[in-house]
Amino acid sequence: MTKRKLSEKYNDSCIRIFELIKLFARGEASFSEVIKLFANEKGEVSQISNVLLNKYMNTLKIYGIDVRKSKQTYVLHKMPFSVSLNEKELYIVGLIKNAMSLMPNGKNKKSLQNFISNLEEKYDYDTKMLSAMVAPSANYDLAFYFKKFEHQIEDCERYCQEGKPIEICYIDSEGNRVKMEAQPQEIKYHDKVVCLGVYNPASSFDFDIPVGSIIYIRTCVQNKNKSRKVYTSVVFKVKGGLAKRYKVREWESAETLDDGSLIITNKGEDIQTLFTRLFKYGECCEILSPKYLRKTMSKKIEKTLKNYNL
Amino acid sequence: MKHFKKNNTVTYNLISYTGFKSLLLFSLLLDAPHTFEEIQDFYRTNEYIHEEISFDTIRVYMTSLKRIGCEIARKRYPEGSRYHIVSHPFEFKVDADQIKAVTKIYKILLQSASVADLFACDTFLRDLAAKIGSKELLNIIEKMSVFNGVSSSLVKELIECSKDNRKITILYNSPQSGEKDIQLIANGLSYKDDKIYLNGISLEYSQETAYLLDRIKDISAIHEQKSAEDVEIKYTTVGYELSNLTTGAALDENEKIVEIKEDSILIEAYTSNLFMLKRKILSYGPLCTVLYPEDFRNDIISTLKKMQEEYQND
Repeated sequence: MTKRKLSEKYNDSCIRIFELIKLFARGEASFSEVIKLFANEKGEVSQISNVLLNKYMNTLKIYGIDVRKSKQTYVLHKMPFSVSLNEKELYIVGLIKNAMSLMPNGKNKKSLQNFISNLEEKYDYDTKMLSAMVAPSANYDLAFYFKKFEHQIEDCERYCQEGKPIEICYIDSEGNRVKMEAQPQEIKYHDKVVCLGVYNPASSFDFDIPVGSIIYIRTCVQNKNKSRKVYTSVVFKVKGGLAKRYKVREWESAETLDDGSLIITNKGEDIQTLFTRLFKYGECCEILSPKYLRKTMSKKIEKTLKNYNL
Repeated sequence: MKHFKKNNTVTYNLISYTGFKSLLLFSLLLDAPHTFEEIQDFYRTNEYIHEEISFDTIRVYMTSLKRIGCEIARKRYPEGSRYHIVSHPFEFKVDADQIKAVTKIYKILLQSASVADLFACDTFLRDLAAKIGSKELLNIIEKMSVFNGVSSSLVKELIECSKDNRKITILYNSPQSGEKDIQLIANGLSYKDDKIYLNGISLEYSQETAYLLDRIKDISAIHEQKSAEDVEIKYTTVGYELSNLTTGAALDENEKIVEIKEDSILIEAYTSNLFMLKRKILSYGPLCTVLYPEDFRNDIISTLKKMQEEYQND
């Protein structure tokens, strides 16, 4: 039986079989809901409705959709589009859910919750049963930083979402109080420390500021236009054994010299992380440019030597 | 279907024949793009259908599929237009925001979960992306994965060997000496500085060492069980002072706080690998001072002086 004008003609049986799948895709459907699909034009359920329902149930069966009836309720056990997970995979879902519960409230947490609930809706019957038995992992310290700075992290998330320029004041790793205007970027994670990643247009550097060291953040009153991010290039030389094993990062380019040394051009790495990394390389590394960073490094070395009364 | 077959023909009064044909078309268009002729041919040769179906009927079926929420795309090819279902109401859709949120949670797990769990998570997300046909999710996992370029079977084997602290020989692509066999007692995988390391006790140097996972080419041999106590390792106790930390010091397993002062903490590290500890201490910069032993303290000073020389011409 076809309806409507030729270009939009559709078939009742086609529609009905998919409407039936849609009902079952929810996981459970009552008999009264299902039989309504087979009511006549007046909405009356008759003996014919039952015969039709049986025919459609048989059709689903041969297509591979496993629906079982129990006490006036149809329960979906398996369908070609359902997700089947084993115990190990469900354990990972539990791990993700655990970590999610510690995320600050915000867009990301909401999106992840949607992802997980969509996934769980698509579980087949066996997976649903199994998931009730697999306890989410509780042995992991996912709370490392979140509990202590939960509200600060939430605030930082909000600044990132708003994307407005901010004035941020924080204590840097050497104990100095630093104030700067910046564009909030995203929440980042470094060695179990949650940081607010910001871009500072004045220096053309990214800064990852540990949430716990932030004194205050203010949205700039003047709603300045977002400036395009232009990063300062930091060029440094890597020598000796380190040159052989140095792994060029995604945001770096390298040039090899005749003596095997590498000239690395780094763009866009958080300046504090970069300094920490280069310091770690010891005498195998030397900053070439910009000059003021060379000076900063030199001062840092001097300051460290003072620790040894030198 | 066999249940509904009598004398080699389907007893159509037991099923919705049209419903069945539309389900078959649904599957066909999900698999790959097809022309009307190919769809006709599919119905003609199907063992249960064996029927000539007109283009008009196929159009009606397609309109019905669209009506229930399928998005059918048409692409022109030299042999004619091909039709393909690009989305349907039953699929598990992952939008851009959800993908971004998955990357966030991956980063959190990187900092907190064990490498074994991280690997299982990585595998799970890849499998899920493949299962639901989300290229976007797969692309983002491949981009952020810390296991890129390493075979899954190798990671699995290393995790297993580490569980039992097995003595193994690995084929390692050393930056200094090229590919070579290294014997070690595997202690576990760890994540540090955006990289995965295999931690173990090197039997050549009798010290704790970390090997970059992406430089391990293979496990050449798994030997008999050997415990760390069987290897003579030279440990050194290093004391250092860490001052004014605002972000919280991440103590390693072999470290302990021995004293907390007003502006600093005194830490004692018990290590067999002074090279790794030296790098850690240098990374703290002016925040850290080595207190003992004298020779290690002198080594740090000597390195700092060499570093200073590089900047002296300015």
